[in-house]
Amino acid sequence: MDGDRAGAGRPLTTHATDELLGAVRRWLRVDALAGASRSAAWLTVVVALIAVLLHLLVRPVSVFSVALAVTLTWGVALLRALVTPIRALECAAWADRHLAGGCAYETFLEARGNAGSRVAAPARQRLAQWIDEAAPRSIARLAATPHEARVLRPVAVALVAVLLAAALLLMPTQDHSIVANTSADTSTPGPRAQATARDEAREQRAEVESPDAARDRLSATNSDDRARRNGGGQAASTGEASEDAHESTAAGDLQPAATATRAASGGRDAGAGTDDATDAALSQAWQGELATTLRTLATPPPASSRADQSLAADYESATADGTATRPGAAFTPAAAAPQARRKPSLGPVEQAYVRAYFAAPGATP
Amino acid sequence: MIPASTSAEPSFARAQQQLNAVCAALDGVIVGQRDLVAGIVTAVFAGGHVLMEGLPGLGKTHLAKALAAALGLQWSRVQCTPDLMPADVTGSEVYSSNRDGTSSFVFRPGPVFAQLVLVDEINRATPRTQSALLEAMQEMQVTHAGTSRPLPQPFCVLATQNPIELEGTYPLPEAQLDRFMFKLRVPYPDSASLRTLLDVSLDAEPANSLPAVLEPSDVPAIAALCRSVLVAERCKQAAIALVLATQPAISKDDASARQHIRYGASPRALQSLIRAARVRAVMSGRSHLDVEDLAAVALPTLRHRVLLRLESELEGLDADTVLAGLVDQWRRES
Repeated sequence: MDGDRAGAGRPLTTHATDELLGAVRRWLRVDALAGASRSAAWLTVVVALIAVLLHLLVRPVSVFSVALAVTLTWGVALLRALVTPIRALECAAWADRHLAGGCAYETFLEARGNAGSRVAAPARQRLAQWIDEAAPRSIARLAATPHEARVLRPVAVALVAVLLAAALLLMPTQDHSIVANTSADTSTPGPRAQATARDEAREQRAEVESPDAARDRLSATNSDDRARRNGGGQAASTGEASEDAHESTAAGDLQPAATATRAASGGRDAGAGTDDATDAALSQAWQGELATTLRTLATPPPASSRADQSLAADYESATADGTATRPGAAFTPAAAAPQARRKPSLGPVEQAYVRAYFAAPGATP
Repeated sequence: MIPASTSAEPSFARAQQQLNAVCAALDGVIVGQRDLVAGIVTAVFAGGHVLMEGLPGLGKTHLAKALAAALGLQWSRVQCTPDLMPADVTGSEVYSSNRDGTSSFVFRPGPVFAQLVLVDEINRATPRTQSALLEAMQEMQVTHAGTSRPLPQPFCVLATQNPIELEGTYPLPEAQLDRFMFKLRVPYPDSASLRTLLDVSLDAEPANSLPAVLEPSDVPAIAALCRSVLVAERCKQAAIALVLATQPAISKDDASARQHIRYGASPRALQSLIRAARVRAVMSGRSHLDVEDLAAVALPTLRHRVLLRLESELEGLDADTVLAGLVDQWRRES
């Protein structure tokens, strides 16, 4: 019997095709779920690892938050796999590639979609007949096709990772909050607060000690700090010791230009030193605190009383007027602010030399 | 002869049966050339022309005669030489006397006016004669003295050329090679085929006694049926990808096979690819195209449409080697 004529008049739809496409759709759905589970399992491992690292290094992590993250991961992955539509054409293409369809199923769907076009009836009928014969073989082949996505191992690894993470998170350990708070506090206020804290501690120690001993201790400490922070520039600004002040003044007399430059760069507002890039306000706060402390300590008896800002103000004003006659006040006036850059003043010898140079014939300005 | 269908409606199953019967008949005459026979049958029913390349004595002329006999077609032969003129192929007007005593010029058709034309050693004809022949192949008609005369249908040219004796030949230009749907290589038969050849054709000429397998009207009917084969979008895209894969200027990646190609296949190659693959689908009993059908006809369709770089030719590569790599990669991606 002629096979084509046997199929003549048959509508271009076959039960075998619909059955095959339905089976393929279910297979692809299961495969998508398996793939989503695999991805979610590996993501769970990553989440557990991140939670443990956060817990150990940064701050405590609650088990609830980890469980929430894992649940969200699995929920999104599985929901996406379930919601993503699988079209019939995709099923047909997959069946053609993997179930020895030979493009028949795709052609069938396209021909069925273009039923009104000029598609030759014998070709369509022959195609329907061919699919009727091939679809049962494809279904049997589909039933024997295993899913490629391996799920067991990732899920097992994820389970172990979650259990280990939960055990670690629930394990009583040292109080991380102290460390965390300390680190957070030291990190947020900045160096200025540290310096202020150190200065306050020194002040408190100075209160309980004798004024002389405290002055010596603070002088030594400030020298160390000054050397550690910015070298000699601090000396000119604090006016802590007479020797330093004298040295600075003497150097300024001998080398005016160098002194101006040094004062500008040594001052915290100069902006040229490496230290200035960190915190410009540090030097100002340090200056103010130390100056206040030192002025308080340099104040004459009563020694048991606390240093007073007004005394320091009087001292400064008196010093500025050149009427400082306090006995035992060996301090030079403190430079509260860094010296501004001034035009270097030349001595008589240097000025004479410069004038002679420019007066000489052929001198270039 | 296979009995004709009782209905005028073409039948894929019967077409498959007829095509396989033709191939079987030719296999019995041309021993050990199964791929060559299948290629020629494919080209004939796809409406294309075939260029056969092989050494002398491999049965090319026998194959043409046997094919004409099996299909029941009228055939003719043109032996090309350098002094062959276009009129010797297409025909010419001769002065003849009529019965009533008057005289006039009458067109006498040339050998090209046949359904199956064997053009032997086509590369020995001059380019002028080649052009006249190739114009007939493309237009399916011959114009002489301002009058166009259509060629009989189906019309198929089987041209042969000798790959070794190139002295005194005029190789076909690439533009004219593109007119041939297939370029088939005639391989040397193996020992078993040679042994069978002795039994078949030692004392007889089997091509002369081959009975007709089809009726002359069956050929256009089967050809029309082949043109109704359904082609899915995936197959169309695959065919386009295959043709584009031979284009070094268009292709995106720099595949190792493609870097040897100087000029790739033309859009006409794409059409030939689909038409030939449709016949293969009918020969397999299907009314829809498969990617494997395209792969089966890819090499004979593309090998004469691809020009290799000179450096690659000097390295000993040929078009078949390069195209085989391309087709393998294309099949993996399709």
